[in-house]
Amino acid sequence: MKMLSVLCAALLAMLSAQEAPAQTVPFNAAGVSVKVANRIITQTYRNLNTQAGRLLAAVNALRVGGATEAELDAAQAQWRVTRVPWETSEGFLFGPVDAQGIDPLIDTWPLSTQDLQQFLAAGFTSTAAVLQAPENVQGFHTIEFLLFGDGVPTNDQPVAAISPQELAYVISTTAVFKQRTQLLETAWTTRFDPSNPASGPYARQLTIPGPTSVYGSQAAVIEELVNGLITILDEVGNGKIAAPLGANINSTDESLEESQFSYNSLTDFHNNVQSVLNVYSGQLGFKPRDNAISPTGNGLYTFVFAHNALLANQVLAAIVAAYDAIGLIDGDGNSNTTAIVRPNQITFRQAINDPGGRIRCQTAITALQTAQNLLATRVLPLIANTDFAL
Amino acid sequence: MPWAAPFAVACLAAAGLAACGGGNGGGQSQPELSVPAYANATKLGGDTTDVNASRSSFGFSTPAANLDTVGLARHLEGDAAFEQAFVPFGEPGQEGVDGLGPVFNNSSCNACHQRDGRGTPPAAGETFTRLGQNESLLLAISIEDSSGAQCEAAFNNGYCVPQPVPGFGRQVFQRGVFDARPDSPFTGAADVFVRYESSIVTYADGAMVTLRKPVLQVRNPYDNPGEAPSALQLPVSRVLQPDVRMSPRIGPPVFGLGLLEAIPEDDLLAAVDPDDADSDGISGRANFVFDPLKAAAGNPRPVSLGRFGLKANNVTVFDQVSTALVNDIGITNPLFPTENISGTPLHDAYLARNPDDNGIGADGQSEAPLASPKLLSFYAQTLHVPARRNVDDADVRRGSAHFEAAGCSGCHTPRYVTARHPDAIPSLSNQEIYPFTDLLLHDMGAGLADDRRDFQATGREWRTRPLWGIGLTHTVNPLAGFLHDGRARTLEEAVLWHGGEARAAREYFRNLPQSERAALLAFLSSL
Repeated sequence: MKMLSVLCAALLAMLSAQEAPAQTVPFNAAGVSVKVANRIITQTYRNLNTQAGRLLAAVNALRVGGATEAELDAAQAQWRVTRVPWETSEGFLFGPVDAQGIDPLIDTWPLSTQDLQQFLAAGFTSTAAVLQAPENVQGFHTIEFLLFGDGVPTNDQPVAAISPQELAYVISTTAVFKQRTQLLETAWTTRFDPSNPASGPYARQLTIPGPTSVYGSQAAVIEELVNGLITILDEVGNGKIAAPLGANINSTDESLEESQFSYNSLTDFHNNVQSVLNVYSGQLGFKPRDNAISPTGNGLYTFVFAHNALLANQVLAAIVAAYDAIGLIDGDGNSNTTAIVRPNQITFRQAINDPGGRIRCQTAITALQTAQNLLATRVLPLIANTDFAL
Repeated sequence: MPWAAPFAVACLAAAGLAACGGGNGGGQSQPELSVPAYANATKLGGDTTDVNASRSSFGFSTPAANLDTVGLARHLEGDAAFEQAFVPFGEPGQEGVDGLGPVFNNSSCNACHQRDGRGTPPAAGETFTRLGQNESLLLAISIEDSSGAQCEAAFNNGYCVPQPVPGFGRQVFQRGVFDARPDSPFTGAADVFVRYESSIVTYADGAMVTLRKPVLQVRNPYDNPGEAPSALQLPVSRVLQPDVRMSPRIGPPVFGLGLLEAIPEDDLLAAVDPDDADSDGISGRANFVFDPLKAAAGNPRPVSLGRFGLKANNVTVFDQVSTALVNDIGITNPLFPTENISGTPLHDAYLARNPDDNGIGADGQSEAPLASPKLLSFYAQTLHVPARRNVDDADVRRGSAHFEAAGCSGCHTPRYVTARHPDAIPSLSNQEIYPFTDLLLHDMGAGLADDRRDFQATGREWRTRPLWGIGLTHTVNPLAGFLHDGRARTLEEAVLWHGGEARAAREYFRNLPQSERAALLAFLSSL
């Protein structure tokens, strides 16, 4: 699950190995684990479930035979809004989302559009049908496909292009999707083992590490959080961007692009890095230009700061640089947003096929790798040099 | 065996192990517990172990720490392949990852081996629940020879390969692409249902543990749609006949496999003791199984020592990966170029409707090129093994002494030194490792028996599971289950299921006072 930028990691490892042995630093990670588990992770899943409910309401408005363009626009917009908390959860894809098999049911890519069309043609459009159907005909991207069309040549299909079966199915599959997001929220707030009411909220596993938790120590919790950030930075840089980009303009692979029907990929990447910013800062929705980061903020920044204030800020700067570099891929010169709403913006698919866009993609990859390598080679080893309270 | 060392435990608890354990307690007239040398081991995977990924849910999914840059790049490529979800044949724009099924158990490697660890057992209760999407459990099936005679390996019996159920094969593929069965969309050869039966174990001190055991049922088989087993009428479907054996299997962890592959064969065979000549109550048999790589190379007797799989029924990681690709996911590959249900009425009918989805691409090659199973193999071979935790904890050290005294290490062999890896992977060669397995078959008793033979393995035998990393199982997957079918929710339950050759060890554990049972479990949790 963890990728490292090979050469950079090796180089940084050599450099860090030349440094003097670090002194052990006492640190009580309770504040970090409570803040991140409750205020970042659990709240993100709450937000996802709330937005999924709104998405269900939006698609329920698409009545067969009576749907309007405005209603479709609203459903599409709500799909994008619902996508935000999911993508900002990808910095902590561990625990119930894996254990209960929810991730593939929510976010499988690629889809099987062939099977989906056959399924619909055979009249299977009910919620019961979705519950029996495989993961590649449900979840975010199935809803996206049905709402936005196949993305070629536009991501704004008219409502008339959606068949009655597709309308019925998008309602059913969104209803099931909402059940899954509810499962996630319940797992983090109430009980993580559906068959064991005494299992308690998964957040508690992080906030009370020790013999009764799956995390044996505070060190384990910090290791979990740091590795979660490393993983998503790697996935965005070396996977989500680099894989479709290919080695050269003749070897792009557009099939690997997620959210290609809605042209939402760049926003997805941005929100993935927002996930990193949230956990690192200890603030949900942290905006580096608007919000101050604090050594007492109880994000991972607090842990790193306890060891090395310079490094703590260096890591923050690297994450922000990666965030900004992704924002620039669309070519409008504005790193604050990636919504494809202005004429001078290009999509991720266009960017990987455009010489200038490719350079901007590579710049973003490099920035992501820099942040990833700092976390892997400078932050992760700090755990061994920490005298945790538990 | 009654608990025989109360003095020693009291002594250990009061004075510390150095006083009366660890080999330093000379002059004691009472029974002693010695802390074994392996209790000091930390980097269980030798130099592959990455200590910065040994406490968290990344404990099983981290590359070997000693990979060189080329090896690491290849590992990372394999990582992406391991997580890749396959789609049905012909999906537009997805030519590189199509070919799923037409019948299968899951659509990606990661779906059964979550985060490279143990899978989540089905969420079922006391009533039957249908296996749905993303299940880590599959049902192995075969026809059993009613004579009960030991199989003599020979060419004409596939060297004792399990005999497939006509029309179904050697697994129940419960999932299918949309058109696999027109009568039942997205269903494979049959539906599988599961429920759990409970029983209670009571310790001498009155403490109780509830054990559970899965009960599997096959319904809606392709050859008689809608049929379900009934006590009131004889079954119609071939898969429901009484000679069919069913063995539920949950996805096992996949880390450390390359190191196991590099253990010298002689070291493994040295522990074989089929007739228990040393009278320690433990036999240990090698499973010599069909070797598809030898067969492909034209070897006249393609049989080798099995090391992998729950019954040591696969020879190499490559063999196992290739088998899983074609069986579990339905992706043909160079070693197994025909579909998992090839030659069955289900497949014949499917091919009549979908002649192009025949497992062979337009280029005449299998759905996965040779590079694919090789890449996946390399990935599994080069995952690190997590370091131990709490090595110096007093309970853990006392628990290690109990582990030894109970005889657990008789099968869970702690230490080996690897030889040159067969694929010449440098990071796996010449490593001092602590897998806690002998990779041999042992009779584990009636409670765990699946009554299904697998090459030389009897229906009561299972291959000793490696214990390295086992303490991180629930950190990696909080809902993971232990043992071959995931029935055990805790390590304690897993120990209590041990029978057969492991009965004495289990009874040792059962007769310990609570604090000492906890110590032994603490040792296991430190691995």
